[in-house]
Amino acid sequence: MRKLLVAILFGLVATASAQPAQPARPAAPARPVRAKPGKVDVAKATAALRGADVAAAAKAAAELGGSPDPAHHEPLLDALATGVHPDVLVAGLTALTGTATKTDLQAIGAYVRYRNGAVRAAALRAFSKSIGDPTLVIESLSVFDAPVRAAAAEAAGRMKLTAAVPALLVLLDKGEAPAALALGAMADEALARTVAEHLGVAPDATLAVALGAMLTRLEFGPETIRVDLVRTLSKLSGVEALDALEGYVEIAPENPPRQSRREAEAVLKARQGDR
Amino acid sequence: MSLARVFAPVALAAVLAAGCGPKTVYGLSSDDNNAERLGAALAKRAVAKADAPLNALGKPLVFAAVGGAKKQLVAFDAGAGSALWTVDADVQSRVAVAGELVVAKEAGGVVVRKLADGSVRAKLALAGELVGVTTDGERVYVVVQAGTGPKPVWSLIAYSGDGSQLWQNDSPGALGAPVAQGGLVLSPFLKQWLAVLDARTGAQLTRVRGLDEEISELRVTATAAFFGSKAGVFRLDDKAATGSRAGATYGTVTLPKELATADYGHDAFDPVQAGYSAFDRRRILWRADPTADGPFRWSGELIAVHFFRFVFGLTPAGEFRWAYSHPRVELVASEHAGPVIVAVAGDGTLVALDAATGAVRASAKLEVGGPVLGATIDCDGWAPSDAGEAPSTVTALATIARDRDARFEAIKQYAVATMAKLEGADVTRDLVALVVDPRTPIKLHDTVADLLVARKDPTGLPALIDALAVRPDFLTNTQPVGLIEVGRAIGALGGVSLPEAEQARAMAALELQAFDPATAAPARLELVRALIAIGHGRERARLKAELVQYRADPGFAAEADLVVAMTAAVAAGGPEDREVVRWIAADARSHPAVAAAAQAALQPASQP
Repeated sequence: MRKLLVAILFGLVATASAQPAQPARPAAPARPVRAKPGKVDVAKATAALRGADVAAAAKAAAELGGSPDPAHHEPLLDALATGVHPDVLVAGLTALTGTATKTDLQAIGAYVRYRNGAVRAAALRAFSKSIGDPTLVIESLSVFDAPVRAAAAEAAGRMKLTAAVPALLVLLDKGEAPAALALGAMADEALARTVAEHLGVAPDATLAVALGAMLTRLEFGPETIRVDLVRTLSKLSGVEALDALEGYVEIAPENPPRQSRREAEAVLKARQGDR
Repeated sequence: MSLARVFAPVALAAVLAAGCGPKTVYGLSSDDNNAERLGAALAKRAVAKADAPLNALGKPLVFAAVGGAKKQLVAFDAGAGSALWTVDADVQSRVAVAGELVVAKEAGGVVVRKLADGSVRAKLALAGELVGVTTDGERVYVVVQAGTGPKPVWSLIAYSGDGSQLWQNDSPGALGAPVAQGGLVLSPFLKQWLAVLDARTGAQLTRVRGLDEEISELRVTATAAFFGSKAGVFRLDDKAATGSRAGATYGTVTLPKELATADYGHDAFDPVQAGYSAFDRRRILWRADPTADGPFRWSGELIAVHFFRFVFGLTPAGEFRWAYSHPRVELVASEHAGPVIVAVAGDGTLVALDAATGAVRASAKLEVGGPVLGATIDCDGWAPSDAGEAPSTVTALATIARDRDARFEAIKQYAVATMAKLEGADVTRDLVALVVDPRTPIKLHDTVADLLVARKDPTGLPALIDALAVRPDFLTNTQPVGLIEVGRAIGALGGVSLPEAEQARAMAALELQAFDPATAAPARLELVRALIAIGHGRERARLKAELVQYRADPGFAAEADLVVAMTAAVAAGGPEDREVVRWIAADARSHPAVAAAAQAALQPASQP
């Protein structure tokens, strides 16, 4: 029966019209649960996963998914393939984010369009951390679930996905902090200027997050753009701009002296009363 | 000099010149419905052999009253597409036209103008409230109501074209606006009688008494005269002497209820309708062919209904034939001229619609400095050389349905109901466009949605599939609209044979929307139902996968109808399908509601 169900769900993955690119996965076999010695009691966890106690199943999913041993993932993948409670899914998918192997990705991929936003975000994080799928990430930036967009933005920033920049700029204008952080993480000088041009369009707080994220990257430069961003930040209202300037002052070396740092300090001094 | 001071001496001189005082010809008793006398009176009547304008130029002319800062009367040659003349005039009644005369009430009194150039030929003072004015080209006939209080008096007064009073008939009872034709004056009395008078002397030749319905509406053309009421039309012929519908040449049309407020003509007793008013924008436009001895025959077996901005071509039984939607501004006047229906819009646009097809055979623009308040259309027999291109009925109806004017809700309902009876993919596409348009009023939206379902038109499937193509997009703030309605419409095609490729396309589109996380539960239910209806089992693999994946999800379990539909559809499959359902029913991790639905689906009674 389990074999049949696995095939059914993997069939869904294979036939759904808009599924992400998948790594090659062999035809789904029945997954024997093999208990291995170590910290994870696989047999116990497997039993919990098959039970009706959601909390226990979630705990077991986290244990199995978090195990660096791919063999421990097998019962979890079976659970994913046969449908479990969203709490169990979130726990398992989140655990797999740092440990997923290529063979785990097919099961994870079946959840990147799950209807529950938390599950979907967890699947997207696990999936995009293991295998960067630009199409999936960009598509996920436009969904209506905020947690999913946040996960996608995070992935876009981590992957320095320039194709995602137009979408991220729209989200910046809509005041989405994850998009601001993503832009901050991937911006070069040209993108930094583009982002700075959203002064007056994007909310000040969100723009400050984006510019602050750029300035706190040690390799970000040259100095001319740092100075420009500090000056842009000086025009923004709200504590977020001050946080960004403070963050920059903290990481910027005192020597050799930087004009951008001096100007940031001057702004902070002048706006002490703003906090 | 005030107009009153101008008119008063003219009126006095006219009375003196008449040489005789008013006479009373109206009374409650008379030799009514005398066939012999009516025949004799009609035999005296001079009428044309063919339809033609009543004006002496014989051209299709339109006389438009223009409001605004500079009030004007414009005579427009529709055939030439240019103005004949324009004069300053504060027109306050309908304009009557015949022969060389153009007559209307203007500020202070009735003004008689020359057809040739619009110059004033005579001014007639009014000794009371104007009820109506008409002309036969030789004389001018004015009905006024004088005196207020217990004993008002109505007077029908005849003048020469130069303003000399010729005769006057007084009446203790209400007279309606008269019409004149070929030596006769037709004067409605107390809504019950039609007095047929000698135009030269005012003497009553005979009188028709309406036995079945009132007499409140009159119409003359070059070839015939008609009388009647809101209920129908009598031809004034020998048989009219019967006074009854059965005995006379009588016609009536059956209108769709949404158009039923339209009238065959103007109410001759309504002072409001003595001038141009909203009644002119809601009319039945008709002509009748002469019949030797037969029943009333509507020309071309078609009539039209002018309803504000719209004109509908209908059979006398009310069956839809064509529609015309005038852009933006209302049509303030209209007339059935035989080959064409001529209408004038408030901005001065003139259109001539083919009476049989609704094609625009001519259009022109009156150069006016203000809004056109109303118009008299004297274009009988006009046949523009351009045959026009028959309009897309669907497009016209869709335009009407999409109209933003909230006054026309009933007409929009009629338009969509009519559309839905037509075949073709375009109809479905237009109906879908209405459903997905958020500006469509709720009642109309619901009607269209029901009509879409009821159509069961497989040719419309591509339009329905296209409607499912809109994807939710947070960035552009786009969301698909009308998924429920489109789902229901596709589901209604379940019993219809669909081409395999279309079925596959439809299923793919349904799946994409049904299982999109952004799709709301009610829409998902209808989309899945549609999938099941048209899938004929092909949908089971996908439904099975969805059931397995979501069986433990409380969010899915809360969509009770969806769960029932899906489990039943899968359970209706083969042994392998039922095995999955059985497993879902038994597995501890399945949500109890889903497990129960699965269990129920396995019972024999739930099998289709």
